[in-house]
Amino acid sequence: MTSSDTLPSGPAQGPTLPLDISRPYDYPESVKGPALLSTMNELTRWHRERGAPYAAMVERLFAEGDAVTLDQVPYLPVRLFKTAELRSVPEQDVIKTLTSSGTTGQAVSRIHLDRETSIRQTRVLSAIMASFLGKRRWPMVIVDSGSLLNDRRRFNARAAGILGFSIYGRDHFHCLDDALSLDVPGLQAWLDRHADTPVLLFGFTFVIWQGLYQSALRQGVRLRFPKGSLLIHGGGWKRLLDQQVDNDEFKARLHEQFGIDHVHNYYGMVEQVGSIFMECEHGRLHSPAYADIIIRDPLTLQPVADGNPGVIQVLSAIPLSYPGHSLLTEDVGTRHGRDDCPCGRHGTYFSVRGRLPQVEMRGCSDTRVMA
Amino acid sequence: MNIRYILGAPDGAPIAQVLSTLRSQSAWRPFDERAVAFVRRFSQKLLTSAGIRQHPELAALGHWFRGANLQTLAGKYQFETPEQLKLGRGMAFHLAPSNVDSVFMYSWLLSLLAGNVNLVRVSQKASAPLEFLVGALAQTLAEDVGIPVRDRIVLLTYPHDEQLTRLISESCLIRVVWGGDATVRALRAIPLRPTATEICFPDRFSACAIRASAVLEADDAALAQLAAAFYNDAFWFAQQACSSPRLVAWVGEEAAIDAAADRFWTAVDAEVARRQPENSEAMNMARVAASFEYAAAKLARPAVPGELRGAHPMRLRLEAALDETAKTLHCGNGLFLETRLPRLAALAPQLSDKEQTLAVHGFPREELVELALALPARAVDRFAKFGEALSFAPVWDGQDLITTFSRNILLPNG
Repeated sequence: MTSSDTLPSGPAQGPTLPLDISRPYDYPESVKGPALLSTMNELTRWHRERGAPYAAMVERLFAEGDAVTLDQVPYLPVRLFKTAELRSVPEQDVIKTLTSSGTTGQAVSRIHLDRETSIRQTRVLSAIMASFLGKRRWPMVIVDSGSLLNDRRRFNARAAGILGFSIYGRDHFHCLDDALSLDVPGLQAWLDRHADTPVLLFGFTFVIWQGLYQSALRQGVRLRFPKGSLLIHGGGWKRLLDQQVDNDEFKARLHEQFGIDHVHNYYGMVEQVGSIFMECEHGRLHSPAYADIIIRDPLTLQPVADGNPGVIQVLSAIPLSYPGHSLLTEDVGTRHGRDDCPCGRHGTYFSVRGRLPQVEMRGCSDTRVMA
Repeated sequence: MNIRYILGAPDGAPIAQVLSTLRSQSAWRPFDERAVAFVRRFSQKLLTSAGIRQHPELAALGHWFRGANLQTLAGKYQFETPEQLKLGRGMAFHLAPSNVDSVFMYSWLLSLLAGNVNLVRVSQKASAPLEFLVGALAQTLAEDVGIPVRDRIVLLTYPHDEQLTRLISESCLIRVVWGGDATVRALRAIPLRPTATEICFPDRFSACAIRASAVLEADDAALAQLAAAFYNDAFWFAQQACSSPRLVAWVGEEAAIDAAADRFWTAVDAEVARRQPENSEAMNMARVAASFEYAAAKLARPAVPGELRGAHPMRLRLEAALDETAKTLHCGNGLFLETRLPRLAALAPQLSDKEQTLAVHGFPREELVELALALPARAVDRFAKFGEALSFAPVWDGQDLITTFSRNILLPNG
């Protein structure tokens, strides 16, 4: 199954970026910039016409008229998807709802996808993956348990991520059991069958660390993956940073323990599935043509110059069924430059440092229910 | 059971034994000399502790419980008349909010003064103010003045444990709950012994009202004073105390309000610039997110056109009457909802049992009474002058705490 098999025929449904979707890193700013700006303006109009809460926010909080620069595009704080029902399609057109727990507590984001948005996510992700994997499908190890994908309509972020990435591999093997412990004999047997060809590994950062690395270490096993094997991981560093494990350490340990040559982190979120920001061979997160980032001062929300840290605003030309084309995250990062990375990919590139701390609850109110 | 005793019982003490010891203590009369001496000494200890400057809210606590104030307070009650005698209720079970708020300390110290023995459950979360308080309490308890009250105070903490809360609730004669609405609801479901009583301090919302003409008539010095008073009410505790004003209701003609609001907020901005209240990145993000939520629900829009994000204070103009949603969305952190009214009494229909304090400026007493008589049941427990919204009073949330914490025993007359 490839995504293009399921593409609808007929006119495009909703604003589309007028660039070749299969070339995510080929367009310099002079081409991408104006195209993305125009699509962003169309998407803002699209969502205003289709969602009253979104229209009410843009009307009250942003200047009238089209954005003239990308940083003028109206944005929503990403946490709004936890408290408000934000949808730009009728309820019956929603084919799945993604949820994420985030880190703030009980509230979960609810992202409603229609068929078209879902297809666009797959197409954009496929083009990004092709830049790292080529066109062929790799034998694939999913670093998670196979029982994660039960409720098909209401995915959590992890299940959705795994399902989304699975299509870039073949002969899949889920290498963790239900307790997220490494299935050593199963993985060894699978590796014996794929000894001569590089394999793809995919998983969530902390699951890989705990379920694959620490589990192997604890069980005293040293597995070798074939030369050229490549691991893709995302989901955030919070739990690893708590253990003082950074990206360099992560890569070094995985190489040492398993001989995995290439480790690529990605930055993405359930609120903008598809247009992810992949880490290149030089350790930089890259914006694909379908997406971009803006860094803002967390105290003034004004854009800051490259090289300065701030909160990350993410732009994506994908979302049609929910107003998520421009979102202010609570992640902190730094944009370092654009179009000149030695890896050869065009677009802005950046690094992510962590999350803004949450506000402290004070006063008489309780922060959680206690009985 | 995962009980950690902070004061009053040794590690690992069985809770049944601790409860039994507490319950075997007789209730004292309110303002018994032994309780007064202890609280007075604790207040001195607190005020003279090194590091008290880092905790201004604890300094205020120490100041409030100073000897002279205890004497004044005691003088307001009649503890013995020919007809009756006042006495503490017995064992009080206090549940503190998850972040220690000094107001909660006031309530259990008043309970001690009212003659009760006290079991206080504090949050699991460690905090510098709590450690500071516990240090001063432990030192006071170790002195001679602490001997008589040692068996009357237990401070402990434990993780969520309904069985344990149930056990303590069955032992106590009064339960005092500080917490969010959800906590209060959860605790209400846990029964008390039939003879016990309960007092709850749930989430509240507070507001202030200003007569526009009073701002316009004020000279610059009076205006600066008003702004300073407002600052004390609204910016302490990051606007998250239950009596911190979150709504500013302007009363007057449109044009007068335009001019008054302009003058008032300019003065507040100057005060904010001078005093530099805490304004973290997270606080700004919380304000911004709240402004989006208000906008999405069409409840409020920026009070002044232009770039709103990053403003501190951040001002939103209500587009509709203040309703429960508008109150719930408010996150504190320097966010102000504004509304305009022709007369103060017109505020009444927008209030509910959620409202606690209304700070007022520029209204004669008759207008306050007119509003009070028009209020929905239980709305607004106190009118306060600007600058006194956060001041503690022994009448809190509409209840005289000394009276609530004690009981009256009738005596045969003559």
